[in-house]
Amino acid sequence: MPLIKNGQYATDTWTRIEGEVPLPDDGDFIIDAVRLKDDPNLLRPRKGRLGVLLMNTVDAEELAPHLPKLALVALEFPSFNDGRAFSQARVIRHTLGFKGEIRATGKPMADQAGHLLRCGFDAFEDSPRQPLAVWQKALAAVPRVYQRDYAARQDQIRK
Amino acid sequence: MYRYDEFDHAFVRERVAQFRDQTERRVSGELTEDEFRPLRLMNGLYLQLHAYMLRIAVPYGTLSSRQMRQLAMIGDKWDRGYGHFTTRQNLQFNWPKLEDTPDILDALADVEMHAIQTSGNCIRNVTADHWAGVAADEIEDPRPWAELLRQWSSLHPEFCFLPRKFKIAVTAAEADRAAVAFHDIGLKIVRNAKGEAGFQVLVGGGMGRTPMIAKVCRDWLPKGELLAYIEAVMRVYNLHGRRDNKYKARIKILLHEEGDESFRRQVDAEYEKIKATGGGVSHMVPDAEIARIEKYFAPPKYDALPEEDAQLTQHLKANAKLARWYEVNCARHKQQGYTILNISLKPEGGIPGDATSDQMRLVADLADKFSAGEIRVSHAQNLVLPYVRKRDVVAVYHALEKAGLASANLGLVTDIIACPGLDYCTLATARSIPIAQAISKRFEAPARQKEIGDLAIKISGCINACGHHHAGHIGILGLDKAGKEFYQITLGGSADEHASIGQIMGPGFSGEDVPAAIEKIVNTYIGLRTPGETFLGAYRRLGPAPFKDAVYAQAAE
Repeated sequence: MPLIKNGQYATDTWTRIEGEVPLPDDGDFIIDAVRLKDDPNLLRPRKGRLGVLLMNTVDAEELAPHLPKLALVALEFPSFNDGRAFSQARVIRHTLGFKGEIRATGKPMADQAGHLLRCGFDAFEDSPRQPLAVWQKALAAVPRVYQRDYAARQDQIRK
Repeated sequence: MYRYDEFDHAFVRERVAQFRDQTERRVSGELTEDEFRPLRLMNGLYLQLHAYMLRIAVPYGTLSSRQMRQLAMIGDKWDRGYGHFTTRQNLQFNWPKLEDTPDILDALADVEMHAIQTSGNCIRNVTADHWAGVAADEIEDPRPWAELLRQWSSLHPEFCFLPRKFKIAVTAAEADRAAVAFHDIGLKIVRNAKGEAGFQVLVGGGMGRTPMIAKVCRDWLPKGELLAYIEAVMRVYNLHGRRDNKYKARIKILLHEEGDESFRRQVDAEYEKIKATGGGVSHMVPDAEIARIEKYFAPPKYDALPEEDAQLTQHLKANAKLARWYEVNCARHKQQGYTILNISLKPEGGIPGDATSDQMRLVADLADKFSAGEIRVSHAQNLVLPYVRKRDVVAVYHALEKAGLASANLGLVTDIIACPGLDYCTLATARSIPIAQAISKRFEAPARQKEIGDLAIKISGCINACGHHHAGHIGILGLDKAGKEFYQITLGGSADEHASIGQIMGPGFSGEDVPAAIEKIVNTYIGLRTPGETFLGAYRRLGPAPFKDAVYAQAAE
């Protein structure tokens, strides 16, 4: 699936593991966040990096104890207008201070890219595929912003 | 009133440019209507029964004369020479062409206006007491805070894809003219025991198919904490509001299902986290920023005038029609020698809230000459000249009279709120406008209106309740029954500081039978009222029984 980072197509090194499939020792894998509850072994030192997919019905703060060991959190948009993941991203990035990748998965709309970015997302799965130019335009559109403590270029925030 | 600085100007232009690009993608066929829909909805553009409808924000109902003239120009150039003022203090154009809308938005940006978030599941245009800043009964002008909310909510990154639309209203007066209890968030500036002004925060009011009165979520919040606290409310709602059923998706349902106490605890917990994790940015609104905004809302330089104007007093004695209009349409001003002059957009038998471009220009001219260039739009779909010297009242009256704008009916039986209904709206199940017109015609005699006194009739053409029927002293809801329009009547609703939800009286009526039913209700009230008792007062004392008896007993004959 095409992945967009920094306004460009990016190589996706991550593989998604569904359900209870065992986590290999090598490679970057995204597992269901719910598995962390029952299986601390998933957080063991490995060669690859670990990411989780968090359902949008789950309290993002449940991830707090695990975040230091995670390199990626994927948040889902079952449809573009189900905006729960905006708040989850905000909590993970801002309240919990996560520095890794926050990826929008599911069906984010390219025209939402500006909103996604400002809530803390920095990677977007492009499915169904939308023109790259639309993502780029949306990322650059309306740079001036009123919300002082949401991500933005410093010189374009209402002081 | 607020003036855009460079930042605000650039922001709106950038948004117009973005929408122009999105519209071009639709016109070229790059976007399907399904794909375009969410994009246009985020900018106030609806597809109605016959055409697109563009809803333009009038933040907290305040307009300058220049803005009003531009609306008139847009109406002439791109629409059909009129516009419709709405219950959210907005203005709707009913006939714009899709490809013209970016130009319309540019013309709006020229006068510091926009259509941002006048639709969609986001924070909508923030409304306020239409007498804010001039009402004799207010603590202070709440509009600087409404403007702050306008800016903060504009393209808010986190809260533009909420479970459902979200409406905020602000007042600072004793009497609630902004219907705050019927909003997702209602804000009332009140004083605490120490005499300091702060916000009472109400949450979870609303109309629609499940009407509810908002609950107090915070008794008193320091004003500077407003945005951070609302962020907490919004986050709890965005994460936990229902998304499985659009009719249960408003915050009122969340409150109802979770319980007020539990909801309040969640908000408080979220709020504490926000305060604790500023990331270097204070959760408080910077004093300098609110001071900057407040400056724009400073009142005009008032003349030192005696409270009563001798000439006006003489005119009132000599001209009974003028005297009646003055009594009904002009309200007490906080400044001596001034009045709040309300212009009814409810000519007897007319379409509630409609104004022609010519009428808009006339009101703009009057505002320039007599009201410091400022106009207000009320949620009751009327206009207000907020700063009129009593000595100028007669001149304004005569000008209004010539333009058919001098109906003396503010708050009376013919001052009917009505949604556009099935004449325009795709959601409607029945027509509203013709019902409003028929009732207005039936009660048009001034003596009859005077006899009846204060009476709020509100009509919605579907269960979504845009015509606020739940809050009508008499509410009328248009429904579809086997392909025929029929109308349910509710009694006893009120949108003021003693808010209540109207109760269904009984079986519904055909459109033709509605005016007669209203007449029976009104006559029952007149027959049973005590001296000085309003319709609402009488209903609350008597209950529904005598009204039901009158309406249905005679219908059965």
